[in-house]
Amino acid sequence: MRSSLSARLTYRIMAVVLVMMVVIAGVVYYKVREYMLDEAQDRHLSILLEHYHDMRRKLSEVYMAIENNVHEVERDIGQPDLMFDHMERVVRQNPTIACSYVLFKEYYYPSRGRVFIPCARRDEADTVFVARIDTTYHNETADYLLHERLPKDESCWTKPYYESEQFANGQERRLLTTYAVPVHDGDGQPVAMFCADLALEEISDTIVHDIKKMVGHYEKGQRHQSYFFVIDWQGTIIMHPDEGRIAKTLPADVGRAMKASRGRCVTEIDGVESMLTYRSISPVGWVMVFVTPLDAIQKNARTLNIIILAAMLLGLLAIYLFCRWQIKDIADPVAMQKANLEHELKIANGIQMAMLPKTLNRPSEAIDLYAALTPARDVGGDLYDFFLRDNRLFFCIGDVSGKGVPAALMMAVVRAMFRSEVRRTDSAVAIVDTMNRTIGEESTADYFVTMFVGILDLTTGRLDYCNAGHEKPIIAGQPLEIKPNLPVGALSYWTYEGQQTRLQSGDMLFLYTDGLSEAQNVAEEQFGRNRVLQLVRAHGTDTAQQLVEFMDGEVKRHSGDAEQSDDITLLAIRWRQPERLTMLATMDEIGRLEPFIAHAAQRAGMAVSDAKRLRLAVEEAVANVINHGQATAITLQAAIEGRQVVITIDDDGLPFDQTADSTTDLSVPADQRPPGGLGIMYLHKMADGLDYQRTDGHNILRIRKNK
Amino acid sequence: MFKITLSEQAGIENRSAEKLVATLVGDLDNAASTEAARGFEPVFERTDCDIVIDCTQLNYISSSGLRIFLNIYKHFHGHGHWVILKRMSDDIRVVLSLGGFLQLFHTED
Repeated sequence: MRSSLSARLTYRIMAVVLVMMVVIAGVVYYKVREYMLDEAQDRHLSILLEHYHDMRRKLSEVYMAIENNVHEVERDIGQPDLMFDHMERVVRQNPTIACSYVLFKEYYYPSRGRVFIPCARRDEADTVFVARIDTTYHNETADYLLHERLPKDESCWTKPYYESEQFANGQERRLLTTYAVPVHDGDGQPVAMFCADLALEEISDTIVHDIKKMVGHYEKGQRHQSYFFVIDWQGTIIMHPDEGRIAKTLPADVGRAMKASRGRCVTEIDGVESMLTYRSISPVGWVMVFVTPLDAIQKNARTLNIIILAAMLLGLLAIYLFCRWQIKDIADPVAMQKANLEHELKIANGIQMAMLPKTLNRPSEAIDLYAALTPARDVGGDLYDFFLRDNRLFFCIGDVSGKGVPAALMMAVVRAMFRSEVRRTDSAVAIVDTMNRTIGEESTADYFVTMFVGILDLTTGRLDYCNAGHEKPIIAGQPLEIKPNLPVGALSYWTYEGQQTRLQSGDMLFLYTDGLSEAQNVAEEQFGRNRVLQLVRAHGTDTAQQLVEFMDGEVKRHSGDAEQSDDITLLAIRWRQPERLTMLATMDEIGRLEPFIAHAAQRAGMAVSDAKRLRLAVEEAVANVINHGQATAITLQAAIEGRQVVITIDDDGLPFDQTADSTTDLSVPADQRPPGGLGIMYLHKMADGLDYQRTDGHNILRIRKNK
Repeated sequence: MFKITLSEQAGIENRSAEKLVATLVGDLDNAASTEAARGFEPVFERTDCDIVIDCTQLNYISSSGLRIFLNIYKHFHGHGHWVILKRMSDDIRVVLSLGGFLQLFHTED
């Protein structure tokens, strides 16, 4: 009940929204990452394209210079000395070319020795020197060109290499690549390779520097930064920001990851998960590679995702607040209707409780009665009632099983039924029986009522009772003996057994519902039947109200802060043999005299035989009033005055002075006297004193008897 | 509470006739007198025997009870038979004595 409809609705909406948000966040993250990779690829390719053209231009210059001049070299092949002029011209005309030379096969010019290499070279100061490289010259590139490419009559770009000491001429050795074309003699046979060297530093310095600058700007503060390198078709590194790696080979798996002539791939390089954007340079077969750590790309995607998630959480919070605030108005009418219904029933319950009197509205000398019902928070099903009729007290206490609206309705029905039954039924078992059958026949609900119904004769103290599965009442400090009957409404054909007992004057009858005995404190300890019994015993002389209020206080003290889970109903009834007796003036009522007189005599400590004489006097006087006085009601009072018990008989009949009317002549034998007068004779014989007065239309006769 | 039981008994002592025995238990007061009168009805059909009224457990008697006793006396005495009151308590004996009834009945302890 505590979790309201709006709260449940809110949580469900939020769960759905949360799932949607997680899915959205996942999709967004995946898509954003893809987009970022695409975007990075495009950006990097455009950077590469810029340098691609630069590189191609420089490579083309070398290529064109060699291709354009090879015919002149071939034309003048018969004149070795002219070769120097050609070489010098090529270098002078092409600033890109660091060195140009012709590698002739060994002993091609027998007069020039084994090795003849006419050469022109640009130095640091851009001055062109012409030289002949002689026999001491040897390097791998020359071997490759002469022994691999020349026989096949193929032109080629060599893989990068560091120039020889001899060429460096004391300067730092430069990284070079060489373009070479075969030179043919007059017979068309390849006899030499016409070569031009390109210093890679010139290109790489610019590109690597440019890219480093750009990356430094965009990826400031990142642990792993983007960089750029170039490899040739064999995987040899041509350009790299780390100069130590130049001319070394790239790991094979990285090379394999790049499949097309341009594009991107994701692979691990130097232990960093990276995206490689690459583009090949077609004439040389080189590949430009732009390496970007994935972190650098995805950092933005991740940041974006965090922002999205934060926004979603805020949205979720907003939805929660909105739901709590708005759904209450929309959805809670349903719950409110229910609450209203319960509230109204509680009010109805309260009114019904309020109509239950705490005590008898017409005080009786014989009865001291007090009742209290403390309802639990929810509407509940405790009930009690009492009703005075024909000098008898009809009372009941009951507890409807279950709680809530059905129990409250049931309780109202049961109480109404009891009220109706007690007006026409004189036996407790008959009342219970009728109620059980009525409920069993008319109700399909699985509700039943534990009940104790009692009828207490106020004159005699005789208690006629029937216990239908209720807590044992306590009578004079002892649990009342009860038969094991089913609760009312449990089984419509159950035969109930009634019981009788007799209260002694002054006995206290204490009834309660299990809300009392089962009241729990915070530690879930029950108040307990035994404690109820002990407390009733200890407070045996209290008035009914004192006992009920004391018990109520004790159970509240026991419960402390624990919530009351069940109704608590307490009913205390003390019976005292009445010292006043009101009866109808009929012979049917005359039996009520005996206990009244017996009680008065007992109170006065009168001897049994004297009590019998007093009884005879009173009984004869009352019988005379009934038989001759035409009275409707007779009231008797008993009082102890000194050594005498005084019984006052008050009737509303014709004036009738029984003190004056003793005419029986006792000297006549009893069987020969005229009828009548015998009663008055005994009245006079048995009483120790008689007086009569007529007041306000009432005969008042006092009979005195010595103790 | 009042109860009456009737039974027959063979003659005893010097009387040869049969005897009716009426055993009374409880209080023969005004409230019980109607019931008592009804209980005694069968004895008024008998004219051939004495009657013993066993008062051992009779606790109390009022004038209406005495009227019944008187009617029984008149009936049996009229037919020449005895009415014997057996084992009356002192209280009952006093009531009968005060009303002058004791002389009408034979008593037996």
